[in-house]
Amino acid sequence: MKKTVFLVFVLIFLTACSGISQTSKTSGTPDGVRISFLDLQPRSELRVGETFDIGLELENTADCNVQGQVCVRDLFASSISGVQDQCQEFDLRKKDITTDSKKFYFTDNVYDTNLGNLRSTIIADASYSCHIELNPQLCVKSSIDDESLCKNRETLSQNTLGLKTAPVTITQIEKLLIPQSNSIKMEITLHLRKMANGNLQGPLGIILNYEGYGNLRCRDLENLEWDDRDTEKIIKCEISLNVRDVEDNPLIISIDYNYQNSEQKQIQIMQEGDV
Amino acid sequence: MLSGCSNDDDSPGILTTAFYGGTDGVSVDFEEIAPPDQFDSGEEIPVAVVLRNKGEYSIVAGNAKARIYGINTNTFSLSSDYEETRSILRGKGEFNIDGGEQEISFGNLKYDEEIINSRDFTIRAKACYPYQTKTEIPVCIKTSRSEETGEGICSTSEEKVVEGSVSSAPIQVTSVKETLRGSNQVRFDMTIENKGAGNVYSNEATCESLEDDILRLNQENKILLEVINPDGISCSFRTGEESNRGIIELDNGKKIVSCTLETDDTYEDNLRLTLSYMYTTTTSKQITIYEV
Repeated sequence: MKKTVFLVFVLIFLTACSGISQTSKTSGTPDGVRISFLDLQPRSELRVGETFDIGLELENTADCNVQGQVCVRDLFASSISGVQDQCQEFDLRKKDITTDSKKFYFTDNVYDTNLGNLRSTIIADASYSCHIELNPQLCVKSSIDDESLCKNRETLSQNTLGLKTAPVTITQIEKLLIPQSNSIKMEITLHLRKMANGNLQGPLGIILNYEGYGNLRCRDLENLEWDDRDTEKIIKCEISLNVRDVEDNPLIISIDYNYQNSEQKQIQIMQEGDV
Repeated sequence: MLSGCSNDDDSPGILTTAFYGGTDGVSVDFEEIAPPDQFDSGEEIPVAVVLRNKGEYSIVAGNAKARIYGINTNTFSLSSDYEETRSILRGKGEFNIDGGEQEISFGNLKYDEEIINSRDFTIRAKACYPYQTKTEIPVCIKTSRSEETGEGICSTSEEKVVEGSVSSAPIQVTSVKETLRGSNQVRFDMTIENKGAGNVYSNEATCESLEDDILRLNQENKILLEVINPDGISCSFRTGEESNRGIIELDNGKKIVSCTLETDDTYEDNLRLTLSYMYTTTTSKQITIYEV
C-alpha cells in the first residue's frame, strides 16, 4: 500500500515537472488560436444530398484569454452552397500548464446541386480579441556619463524579457537614453511580429506606461496595417524624465486588438452513382 | 611570564603610533530586515540604514546624511531627501576601537502598484559626510651642505610614509619623498590618493548641492590641503598661488603635490597635514515584491 502511494506521488511529481517545463517556453512567438478540422468532419468525399457535419477543434496557444466567434462557409454562391453560414461564440483561457481547447459542431449541411462533380473549399474563420501585457524593468538616470549602474542603450529580447505568445506580439524591446537640456529622454523601440495566418481586424491598441512617470508618446501607430508581405513592424515611443539619480522602474506595455485567422478543407462532391 | 611579556602592540585599542591607519571612512548598509528581501505588495515595510564610522575622524551631529535612491520613491511612498544623524558619529579611538555607528530611518515603504506574480527592484542608499585625513609623518629637514658633509642626524632618501603616520580615512597620503634643492631648500613630493570605494568632493559642497549634475562636476575630486607643520612650508596649488593652504584636484584618483621649505638647520620634524573633503558611499539591496 505504502509503495503504491509513493508511486502515485512520484507520478504526480513527474507530470507536474513536465508541465512546468512547458510553461517556461513562453517565447514571444507569434501564435494564436489554432483551428483544425476533426477527423471525417467532413469526409474528403461527399455525395450530393448527403447531410454532413463540420467539426472543428479550436486550441488557444496564446498567452492571452481570447473571446470571439468561429464561423464556417464555403466559396460557392448561396444558390449552390452546401454550408450554411453559421457562427458560434467561444471563450478560451490563455495558455497555462496546458492549452485550452474546445470542439464546435456545425450540423445539417448538405450539397443539393446537380452540377456534376464539384470541388468545394470549406473555410473556418476564427475572430477573437487578445490582450497582452509585458512589464520589463528599465533603468534611467540623470546623466548619461556613468554607465556602471545603468546602460544608456539596452536591448531586451526573448531570454531577458519573458515575452508573450500572441497573434501579434513583441519580440524585442530597445531602450535608448538621450540627454536633453534639463532632462533625459527615454526612447523605446518595439519590434512587433504577426503570426503568418490571418490578420488584425481593426487598429492595434498600444499603451506604454513608465511607472511613476506616465504614458509614453508613440509615433506611427496609424501605420500599423499589416499586409501579406509584412513580418515585422517597428514602433517608437518616448518620454522625457526628470530623475535625480539612477532608478529602475517597470515599463508597463499593454497591447489590445482583434484578430482573425482561418483554416480550410478541400472536399469533393460526387454525383450519385459516382462513388 | 612569557604571555605577560607579549607585545602590547597586538592588544586591541592600545595605540603605539600616531594613528591606527587604514582606508576606511563611513560605511552605509541597509538594516537586515529594513527592508527584508521579500514582501507582499501593499505591506508597510520599514526602511533604515546604519552608518558605521570606521575611520579616525568624528562627525558632529547632523553632518553625516543618507538618502534612498534607485527606485521611484513616490511609487514606494518614500522620501528621496537626505536624512541626517542625530548625534555625533565618533571615529575609531582608543576607547572605541570599532568606531561609532548610528541608524537612520526613512519610515515605511508601501508599494501599491499592480503586480503579476512578482517584481524585483534594487533599492539603493547613499551616505554623504564631511571627513578629514590627518598625518604625523616623520621627515628630515636638512641643508645640502650637511648632506655633503655626511651629517647623520637623519636621511632624506627613503620613503617617509610609515605605518601609523596617516589616519584612517578614504583619502590617503600614500607617499612622501624628499629632495634637496639648492643650498637650503627641501622639497616634499606628496602623493594623495582616493583609496576608498566612494567619491570625493570639495569640503565646501553640501550633500544637497551634489545632487545637481553641474554643481557635482564642479566639486568632484577637489580636496582642501593644509600644511600645519613645519611652519614656513609653501605648496603649489592649482590656482597658481604658493601657500601652505589650498585646493588640490585629483586626476584619476591621484595627485602629487610639491611643497618646499627653506632651512638653515638639520633636524627631524613631523609633517602634519590636514586634508578636508566631502565623501559619498553607496550600498544596494535586491528586493522582491509579491502579488497578493
